[in-house]
Amino acid sequence: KTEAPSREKAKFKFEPGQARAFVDPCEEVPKEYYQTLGLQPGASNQEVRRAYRQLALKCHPDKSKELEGTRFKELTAAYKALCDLHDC
Amino acid sequence: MPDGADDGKKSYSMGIDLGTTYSCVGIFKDGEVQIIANDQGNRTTPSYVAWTDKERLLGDAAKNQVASNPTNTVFDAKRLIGRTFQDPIVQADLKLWPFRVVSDGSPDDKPLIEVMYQDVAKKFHPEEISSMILTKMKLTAEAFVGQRVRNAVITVPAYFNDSQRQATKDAGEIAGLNVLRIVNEPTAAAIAYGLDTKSKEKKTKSGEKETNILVFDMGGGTFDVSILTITDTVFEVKATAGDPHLGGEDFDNRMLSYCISEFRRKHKSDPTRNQRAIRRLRTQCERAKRQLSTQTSVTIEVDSLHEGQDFNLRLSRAKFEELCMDYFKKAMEPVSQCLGDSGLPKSQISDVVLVGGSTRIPKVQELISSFFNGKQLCKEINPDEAVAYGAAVQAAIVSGTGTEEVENMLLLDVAPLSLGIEMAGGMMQKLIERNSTIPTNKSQDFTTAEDYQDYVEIKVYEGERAMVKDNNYLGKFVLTGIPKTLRGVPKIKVTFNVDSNGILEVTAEDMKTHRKGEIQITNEKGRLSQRDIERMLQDAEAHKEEDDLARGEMMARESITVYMRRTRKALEDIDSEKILKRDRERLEKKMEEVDLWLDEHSNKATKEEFEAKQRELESAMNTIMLKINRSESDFWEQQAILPENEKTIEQGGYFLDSGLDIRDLIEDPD
Repeated sequence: KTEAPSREKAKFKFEPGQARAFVDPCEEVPKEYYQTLGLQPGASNQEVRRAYRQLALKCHPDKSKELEGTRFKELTAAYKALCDLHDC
Repeated sequence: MPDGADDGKKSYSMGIDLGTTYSCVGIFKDGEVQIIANDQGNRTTPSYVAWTDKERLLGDAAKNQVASNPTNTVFDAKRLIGRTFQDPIVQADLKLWPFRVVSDGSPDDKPLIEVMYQDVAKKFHPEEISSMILTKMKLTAEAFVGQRVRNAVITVPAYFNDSQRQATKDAGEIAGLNVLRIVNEPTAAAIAYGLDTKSKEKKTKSGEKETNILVFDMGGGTFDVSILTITDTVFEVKATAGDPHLGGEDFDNRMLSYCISEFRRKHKSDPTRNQRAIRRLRTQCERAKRQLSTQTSVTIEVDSLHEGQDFNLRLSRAKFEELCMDYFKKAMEPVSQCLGDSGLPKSQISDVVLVGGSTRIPKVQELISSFFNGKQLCKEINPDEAVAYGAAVQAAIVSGTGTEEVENMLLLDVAPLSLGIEMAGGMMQKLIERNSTIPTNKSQDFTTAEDYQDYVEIKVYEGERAMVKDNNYLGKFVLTGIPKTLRGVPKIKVTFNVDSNGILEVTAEDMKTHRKGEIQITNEKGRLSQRDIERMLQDAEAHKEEDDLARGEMMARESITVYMRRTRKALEDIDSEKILKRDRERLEKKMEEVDLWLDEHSNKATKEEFEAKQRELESAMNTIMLKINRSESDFWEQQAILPENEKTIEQGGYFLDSGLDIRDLIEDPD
């Protein structure tokens, strides 16, 4: 409370022991999302949704031996990204 | 996945709807879900635990004696679970509870419920109270299937946060359950709806039809809204919203306050401090509220409520609605939020499903219906049982004990709140957005801010606000063992994983060395430690012994009473010629003696004493039966071979030499 809150610098001062985000320049490419769902780029909303459901039925941790659900999580990430893209 | 089934017998998994005011248990058996009635014949059990001078009572037995024992009757544990004592919601509820709640005094500030049992003050965590209710539900299920049931799916409100979910799971462990999954209540209800609709459509054209539904779940203490897309076997939750502290009890409280103010006005005296009076009045308010769903007005009456004054009030439905209107309106906010989050327009919702007792209130129905422009609401499924029904189905899915149809189903649920970490300047960096499909994870690389810093602290919050101070602090994770070097050089990958129960786990890995064990994480989520849970489990086991003892006594008492009744009946029916006067008199004398003994001792005798008395009676009876047999049967018939493992009376069994079971000879009066 000793510092003036308006000072820009104060805002970004790190406390001892505080974590700081590590910036990674690599970004993912949407094309991979279609691949994950086994689709061709430009597939329709309907196709995206159907592909996701069918694959989820196979690789959801409740349905497969893979308890960590890594594949399912990748699948969901791709599906959500495509949903945002398609607005579906 | 199938657990270690006892003796190769088919094992069962149950679904438990652990409600604020009532709980319900279901089991998937013989291809369908059975909702199980408790020992009182009720399909829902009050979530109540009480301590009397002699024993601990659960469910109906506890609720039925609440007016005479208000301070030692505990309910509403679900409103305390996973919260701190200083939580404003807990502080507000405190004023309405007749039982005592205190802080545990630790930095975690956990609430403890204090009751008097056998003149000693005992303190319980909310998890322990919930575990007792779960035990009751478990016993109900076990009595139904006739074997032990350990595997359970337990439901929680969709809007329950991480701590509340974790605490509920802990409660299951304390009850000795193997918690297969924590499932969201509206999602469970959606399964019940989905199966119901499917069975009606007779699988004509299942195909790939997508149906969007909205589940409006308002129970005794919590309120949830979820939007799902159902396609044949896949139930995908699109969005969820709610209020973990809004339900029927809040309406009761409003009515109660109104009644108290009316009483004050009429009689110029204040019953607020009279716990017994308040409890009696509350019971009548709850009843009146239920009646007002079908009637337009009711009379609330309590004789000699306070200082000898009777209470009498005519309450109209309109007045009730006026008293609770702000709550009803508040319930519509999550509906619009959920709809907005789902990205679906109102017109795309094909069914609005009502679940929970409070959805019987006409005004609530009216408001939802008008929100959806006068839409017809779906009241097809049982609002009190749908959640337990769906939980039982999910238990069968997860444990692989269902039919093919059920095992093909898949539930895709979401995390209700965003999870994030504190960044420089107290900002919240969201890692997992609300309504993310679970299980899900997100990794974030961290580095140090100072030279030679060998640890980093990560504070985790949940909520939607931009600044962490406005969100709910979940706990902090401390990573130690970071190689000492210049700032910005270490690269530590921290993975936030939300499991299928909606519970957060954190793991870390040094990206330079790729050794996972290198970084240690101290989890300070403020939950019960494994040691606490084990201790509570032991306490619960001890309680179980106490309960078993009480049950053993009860059964022995029952057994001897039934035996007396049957003997009396048999004595009447036996042809007097075949029985010696002397034997008859001896038996009658014995019965008289036992009768007197029972009158005097039936409340304090132990199981062994009951059994000893019964044996005395049996031996008197056996003498007679043996004589009847000798005179009646042919010698050869008496040489009948006994079934395997059966003992004759002389060997301490129930069988006569003839192979007849003595118990069959004594007719059942029913």
